[in-house]
Amino acid sequence: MPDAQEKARVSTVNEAAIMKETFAEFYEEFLPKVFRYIRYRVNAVQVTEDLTSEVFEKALTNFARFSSERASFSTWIFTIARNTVIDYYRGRGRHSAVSLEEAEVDVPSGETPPDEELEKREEKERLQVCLARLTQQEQELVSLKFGSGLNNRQIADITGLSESNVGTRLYRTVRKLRDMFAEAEHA
Amino acid sequence: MRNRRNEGQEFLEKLNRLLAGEDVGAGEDADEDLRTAVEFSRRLSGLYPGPSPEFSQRLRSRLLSRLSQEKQAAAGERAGKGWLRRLLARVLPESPVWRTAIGTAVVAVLVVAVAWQTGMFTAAPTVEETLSKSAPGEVGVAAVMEEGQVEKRGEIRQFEATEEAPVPLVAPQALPLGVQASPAGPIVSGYGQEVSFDLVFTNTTQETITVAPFPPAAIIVSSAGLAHVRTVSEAGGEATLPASATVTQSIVWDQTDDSGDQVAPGWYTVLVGSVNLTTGDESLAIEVPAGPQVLVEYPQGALEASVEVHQPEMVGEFTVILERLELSNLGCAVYTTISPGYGAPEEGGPRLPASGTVQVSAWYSVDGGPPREAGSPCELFSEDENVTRLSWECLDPVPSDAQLFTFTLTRIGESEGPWEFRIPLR
Repeated sequence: MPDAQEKARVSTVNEAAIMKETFAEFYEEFLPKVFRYIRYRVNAVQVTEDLTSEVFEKALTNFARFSSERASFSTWIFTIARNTVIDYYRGRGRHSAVSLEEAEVDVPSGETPPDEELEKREEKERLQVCLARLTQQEQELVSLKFGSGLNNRQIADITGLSESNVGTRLYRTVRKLRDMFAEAEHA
Repeated sequence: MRNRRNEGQEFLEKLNRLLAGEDVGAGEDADEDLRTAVEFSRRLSGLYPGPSPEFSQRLRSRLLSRLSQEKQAAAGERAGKGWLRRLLARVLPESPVWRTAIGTAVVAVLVVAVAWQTGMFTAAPTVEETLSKSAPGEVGVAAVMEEGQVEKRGEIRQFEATEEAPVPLVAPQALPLGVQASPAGPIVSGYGQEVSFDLVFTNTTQETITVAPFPPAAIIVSSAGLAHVRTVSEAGGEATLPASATVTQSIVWDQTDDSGDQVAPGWYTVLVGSVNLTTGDESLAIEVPAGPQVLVEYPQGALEASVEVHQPEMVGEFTVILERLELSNLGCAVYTTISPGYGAPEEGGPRLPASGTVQVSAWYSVDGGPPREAGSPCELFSEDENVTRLSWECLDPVPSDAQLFTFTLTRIGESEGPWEFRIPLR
């Protein structure tokens, strides 16, 4: 029969296995959502990958202290993601030299005809410019909804807005963006 | 005719279905506004793809390996303690007198051994001896200062000894187009003065490439709210670059917004649009991240001071103490303490979430001017004191003739404020 120390060791190993399994499940579910949220907020794949890694590193560091009684995992992880993006924009110019060497490549699929590919790219560019013209809160709502596919309740928990307010602002923002896009298309 | 509220609800229902992957139409009886909003949402939802499988797998492996290592270390520590305790139980006699005597002897031996190792029993080496023991060119600790054109006044910068750089898991991809800003660092510009900088695009391949659009679009946004301020370069045209050639986009900003009005002093960011590269039959899209940061200075200069405040403000269950303000020509920092912090609160008492996740909304203003978003704070939880220290260290500078600084926390976690601080600067 194992003694107390052995039991403690077995218990630690079991806890570790459960924690690993739980974190892995969260990772599988939230990586694409967090990645796309950040992708909508920063216009660069490499930066998105870096910031996504940072978010999950932070989440792992604090995972033992995460309590589902206080907040859902989605609220928790997106709060970390949101702060990470804000810190990226606010901190990069003041504390470190700005380098544009982070530019990266989107390789086209090759399945689309060149004309269509070009048209898609132009459309994407226009959308990017229009997105950048939104206020921070509007960008946030668009990223959480279209990037992460969160429901309005989840977005309300993260942003501090009421659920109905999220819906109203989202509809208003999409129409604003649509009008800006149409204007850019005709310009 | 539908009213706006119903239309909004209808839109959200359709949007949720659209994002769930359903094939959604706006409905035949839907008005133009709703129909086009739904159609536009379809475009917007497909703007960016998810992470690549390589990235997902790489990050997953790294995180889980880190988790395993940490837990193995914890398990090993516990198991190690058990092993030592068991060994001592077997070796030591049961009599307390003998245990005390053996323990004292072991401690005495350890003290002598430590003293011997530290050189207490040998003569101190001379300076010449110390120098002669170092190999030429050998450095014990290498400290490397990070590059940066601007250093905050009054800010204590710590530079740690460098460690050997980790080996990257994947070799960095060689980019066909290098993009460099000149000057590379933040630009500090006097009020009303022109801001100019170059973006240098370099063809790093051995083939001729075409860059389009060239110049790419460039816009100025406020660093705090990322709100659009001015389009400084419209996208258009193209540039053909032979192998290793460079082409420069010179950008000049006269510090005005799109309406032609002088912008307020503060920090601004340059965002640059993406470009397409074509070589032969191949085509690639290059996305250029945010460009240089620009500080527009106050005409009268910025206030430089350290203001000790220590002003408490209690609303609901949280007490916020604004400890101090640090004001420099490059920005302003606000330091607060919030109690109770994270930890083991009283039954039913307030709780802040784990470190790095406190949701806080705050804004600030100078002399009753327009409120500016304070953004995300740095956070440090002190378990001993059961307080959370929050600091906002990247706020805009304050003008030298300012009289009043207002800082308002509107929300901490689930609790609504406001915790308002009005700090006289004279």
